[in-house]
Amino acid sequence: MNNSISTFNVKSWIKKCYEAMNDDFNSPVLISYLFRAVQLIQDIRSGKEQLSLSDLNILKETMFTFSFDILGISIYPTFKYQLYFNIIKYLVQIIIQIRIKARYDQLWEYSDNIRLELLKVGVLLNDVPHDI
Amino acid sequence: MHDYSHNIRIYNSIKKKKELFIPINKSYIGIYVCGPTVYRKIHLGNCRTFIYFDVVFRYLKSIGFNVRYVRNITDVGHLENDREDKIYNKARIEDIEPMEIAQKYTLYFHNILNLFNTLPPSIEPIASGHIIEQIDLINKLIDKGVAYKVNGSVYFDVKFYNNNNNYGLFSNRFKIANLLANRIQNKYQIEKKNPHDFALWKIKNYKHIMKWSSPWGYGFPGWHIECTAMSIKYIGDIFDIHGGGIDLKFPHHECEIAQFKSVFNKNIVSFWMHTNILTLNGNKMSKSTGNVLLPNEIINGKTFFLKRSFSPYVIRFFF
Repeated sequence: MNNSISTFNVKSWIKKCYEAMNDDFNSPVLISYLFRAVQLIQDIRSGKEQLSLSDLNILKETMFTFSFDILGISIYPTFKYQLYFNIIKYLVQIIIQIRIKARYDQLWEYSDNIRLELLKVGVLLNDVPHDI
Repeated sequence: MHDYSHNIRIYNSIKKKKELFIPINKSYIGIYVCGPTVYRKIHLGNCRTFIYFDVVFRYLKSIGFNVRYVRNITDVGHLENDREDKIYNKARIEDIEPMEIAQKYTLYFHNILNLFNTLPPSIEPIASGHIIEQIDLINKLIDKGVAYKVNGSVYFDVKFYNNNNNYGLFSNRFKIANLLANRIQNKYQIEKKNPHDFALWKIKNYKHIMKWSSPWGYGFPGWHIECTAMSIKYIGDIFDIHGGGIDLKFPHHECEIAQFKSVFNKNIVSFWMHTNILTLNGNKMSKSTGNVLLPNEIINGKTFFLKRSFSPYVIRFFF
């Protein structure tokens, strides 16, 4: 990957995010742009798009600003779950490892059940091709 | 970073269109949002308003404004049927003191908003802590002839106000105002000059323990006067944004505008912002009809409306 070339206009994307919020705090439109960035990240991962290091940092910083500072999403648990957060995180990681092993062994029904059960408690697993 | 603070457009409920937002003061943006009446658990529809204004608060700060965000707690004065305080009624049902009710549901309100990761407002005044300010404002309204005393209570005289103003213009409730004018007064309204006059101060019920001394005897303040008194005290006699749920547009905000205009002879709020109602299965989410979701029910998944639980952040994301 050439780290000096971007195939996506990050500055234009940032402008659109602010314009959405300046238009009567239109957070649904803002969120659609954030999802566009999520798609971009997946495309970068699969090699369809690329960003320069500088644009990548700007994208990351802007995503953090809008997701956490403005929309108020938090990667940290609220006070009620603080005590249990690390334990839950550890257990979920163990379950994910078990599922990865199941997929490796081609136990599809078993791995699907794990995915569905995790979804019931709000853990969404996003499988990508060739990523066991 | 590019300065995005100069071209914010906000839908102004009083003008019924989007307008360019120009802050009144250079030092800060003043926002007043009507908080909850703390007599029961807030439902998801209530949360939506506070999460929405949390995003407004966060955004304005993030683009460089100083923001003074005031959100009150109504712990006295919200009447049912023009007669009794909601908190007092709930205290009778739960067999505890009214202030225990207020404390219990204020804590619940804070806990729920913490789950949703809302920032605390800059100031969170409570109505019962501002009785002196409310009495002072009522006195001003009496002095201007737009309020009258009767049997230890004080009412806002809507007919007098309408000599130079249009009560109902903001909420487009002329028809309802007319209907109210024509309806027969019930026994609790009989002392008013007109049925749509609203209480600024109510004489205490003989068993009422939430009462304060006033020039008109022991009693308690009406609901509409508290927000007017507290907004003026904390963000001044002209400020940028007054917000709340759309269900507050009438009568609460209509009455507030009448009080503001009567005291200051002008609209003191630049922008009125209202959040729309939240619907569930196509109908308004409402505690009284049972068509309601409590935040905890979604977070722990224990409701027949949903098949699974959702994180507070997922809920927040869609507000």
